[in-house]
Amino acid sequence: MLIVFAAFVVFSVISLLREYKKDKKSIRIIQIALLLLFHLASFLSIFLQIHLGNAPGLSARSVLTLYIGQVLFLMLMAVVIPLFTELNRNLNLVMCMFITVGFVIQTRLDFDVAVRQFFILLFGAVMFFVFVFFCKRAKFLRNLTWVYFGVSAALLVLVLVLAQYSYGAKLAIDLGFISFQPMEFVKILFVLFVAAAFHHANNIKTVIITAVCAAIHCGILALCNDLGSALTIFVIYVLMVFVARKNIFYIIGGFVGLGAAGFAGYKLFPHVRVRISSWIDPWSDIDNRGYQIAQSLFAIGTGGWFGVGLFGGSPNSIPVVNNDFVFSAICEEMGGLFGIFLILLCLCFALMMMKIAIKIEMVFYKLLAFGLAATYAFQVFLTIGGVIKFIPSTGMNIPLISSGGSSLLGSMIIFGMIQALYVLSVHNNVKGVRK
Amino acid sequence: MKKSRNFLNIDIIAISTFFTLLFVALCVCMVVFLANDASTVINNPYNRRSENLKKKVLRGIIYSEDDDILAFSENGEDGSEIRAYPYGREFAHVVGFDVNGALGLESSYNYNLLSPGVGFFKNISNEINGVKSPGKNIRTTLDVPLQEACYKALNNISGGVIVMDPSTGSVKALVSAPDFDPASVAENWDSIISDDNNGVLFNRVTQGAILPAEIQAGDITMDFEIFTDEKAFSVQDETDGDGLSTLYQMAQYVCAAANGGKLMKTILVSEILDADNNVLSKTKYSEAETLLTADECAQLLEFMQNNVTSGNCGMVKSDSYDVFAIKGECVADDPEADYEYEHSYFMCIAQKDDEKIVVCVMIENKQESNTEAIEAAKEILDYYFRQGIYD
Repeated sequence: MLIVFAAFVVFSVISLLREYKKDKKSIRIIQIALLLLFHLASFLSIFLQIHLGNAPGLSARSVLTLYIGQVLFLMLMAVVIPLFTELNRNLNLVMCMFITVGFVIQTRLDFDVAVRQFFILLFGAVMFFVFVFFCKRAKFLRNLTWVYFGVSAALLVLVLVLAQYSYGAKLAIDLGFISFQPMEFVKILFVLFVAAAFHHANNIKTVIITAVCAAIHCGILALCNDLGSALTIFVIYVLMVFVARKNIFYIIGGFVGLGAAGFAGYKLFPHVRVRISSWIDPWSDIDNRGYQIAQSLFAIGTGGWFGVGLFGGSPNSIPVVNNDFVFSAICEEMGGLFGIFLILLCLCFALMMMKIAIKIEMVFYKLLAFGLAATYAFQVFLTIGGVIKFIPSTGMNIPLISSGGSSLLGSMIIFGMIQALYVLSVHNNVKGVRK
Repeated sequence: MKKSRNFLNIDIIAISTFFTLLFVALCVCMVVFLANDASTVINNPYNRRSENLKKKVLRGIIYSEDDDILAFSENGEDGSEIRAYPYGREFAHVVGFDVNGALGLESSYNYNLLSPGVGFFKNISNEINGVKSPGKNIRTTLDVPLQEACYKALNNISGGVIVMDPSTGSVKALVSAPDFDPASVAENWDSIISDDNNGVLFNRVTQGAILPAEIQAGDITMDFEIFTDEKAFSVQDETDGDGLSTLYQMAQYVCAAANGGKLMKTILVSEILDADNNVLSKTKYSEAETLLTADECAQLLEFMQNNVTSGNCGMVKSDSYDVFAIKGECVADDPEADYEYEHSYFMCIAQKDDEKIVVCVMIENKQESNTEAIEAAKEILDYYFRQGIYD
């Protein structure tokens, strides 16, 4: 499994380094084979464990049904669709690999969650294509600056008013049948907003107006105690302004502001102090504040380099393992080396998106692609850094691998938009307009 | 046109590079954690993952320095696993037990003992055949005859003994009394813990600081507040601030004095072995910190030597080896007692040719000053160096 996955990552890196035009079809065919082989090997090992009686509560028949469903889904996404569309196939393949890893680990962690995830992804795939075709055609998207801001701010206010606290922060609105996390969509709207604003007028006035709007976002998120998201919005904003204005002082100013905000946050929110103290020393209060990070480190440490094998460990002892801490479960059972390759694949994916941003010339689309890529990269960094005790835990999740429904949909929309931008960049119809 | 385009992209490339660095840092952090910290972290008693392994792995063997078996497991007739301790009470505290919360090496190396000590494929084939794979074994630095000598010398008087090799930091013997039978801890659990007057589970060498945190030795102030990270000993944290130390901390200080001021990291487990006793990992000798300058060492040793030649430690004087020693008492802090208790301690360095050992003894709760600690140490030293002659 590890070898198959590692080989896939190596090929992905090779295709990242190539020019689009010189792309080798043979590599992609090998990659598709590796992807399906990885999926097959993982499920064979799940079946073996069911047979050995190590997987209580799992019936081989229902797992087989899910497996077949997943294979059909992957075949559709990775093989059939690219034949009929102009998508960036490398990006699409890596995306499918994340989906596969998510399928495998969620099936192992909680079968019901995995089934739910499968259906959400089916819907997500529809959204993906809707956005591919929609963004490609809809020129008015770049003019909706204030619509983006309005919707996104409204969603945040809804969260602030309606959401219940879970794990110390207001995150989700409970709609009765489904719990909905608006933040996953706010991120997208915010990137659209900033991109549209700078497309309209790339001057200092825009910087000031958008800065106020970003501050409103961060402020509401801080009131919701969702400081990880506030940090993400802040960093994305600073990076986008830097790319739009081409001035290094925005970055410097941004980080000074970040330091000040971080210090204020530390003083104002007990929540933050808990996160920091459990990051510095999880061991002294292991029953309480340090519990989650300690369990995560136990999982990763126990897994070692090569992992204890699916169903060999006890990842369910980590709170919210399906979501924020899914990386620990992956490391425990598939191995720390697998985890390292996964980090590399995420990086590769982020760089592929950055590469698309580089190819585009029109400010709106360029900023949009860049903003979405940076959102992805920063979020993955926060999540993985949090669970391996590199940085304090912020409560984010890994797109497409974690189980959250809103996150899956949001991610599919992001990648749909990126693919649309790729198609646009290939067609050269975004060059040189309105610089 | 061309120029401005390139200029724009430098920004994105710079930020991409920055993200690349962040992700590489994540990978480095993972590698460092797995290579360095993971082995300590996973043996934390809060890591309950070992419960799963118990079903699949036959707990490994704990060996002494000379491959005497201190603890091993065998399959009982009904398929359950029986843990046996051939030396029983003599190694009770240092080896410990793995039931009812676990103690000693059985606790701190729990995870290693329960990890499969066979190859990946062998492990899988065992699992398919429904056979338990043997766990990893550990080799300690403990010396069985010396430990037995210490056990006899302490004679089950409430207290503790530790013998260390100052040049390597290895623990050669560690005895705490009163003791218990490690093999029957589960059956006798209620009586073991209810016996609160004695606290038999208490390791009087490494736990419960009751000795002074510093003493004056001539011009030198010996400050015992030393904290090394030997995971086998859960030395209490410095935050206690009660101005007291353990016998183990005293022994470390004396080791540093015997080793030219350099304190070596304590070693109790020298090697982790696979099921066939091939070495998987070896603990390296390493310096923890420099506690004393050469000058201070010389002064301290002179003070300790005078104690033996013309002071209160004359009893340990020997013709066949040199001894440097300090003897002391401290008042026990027990307000409920109607008469005054005292703890007595004795620490010494003994040397013959190139052979050097540190012996520290502590006797608890005596009504008046006594000579039991120094007598026990004398017995241990005589045994050790007499044995050396026959070697």
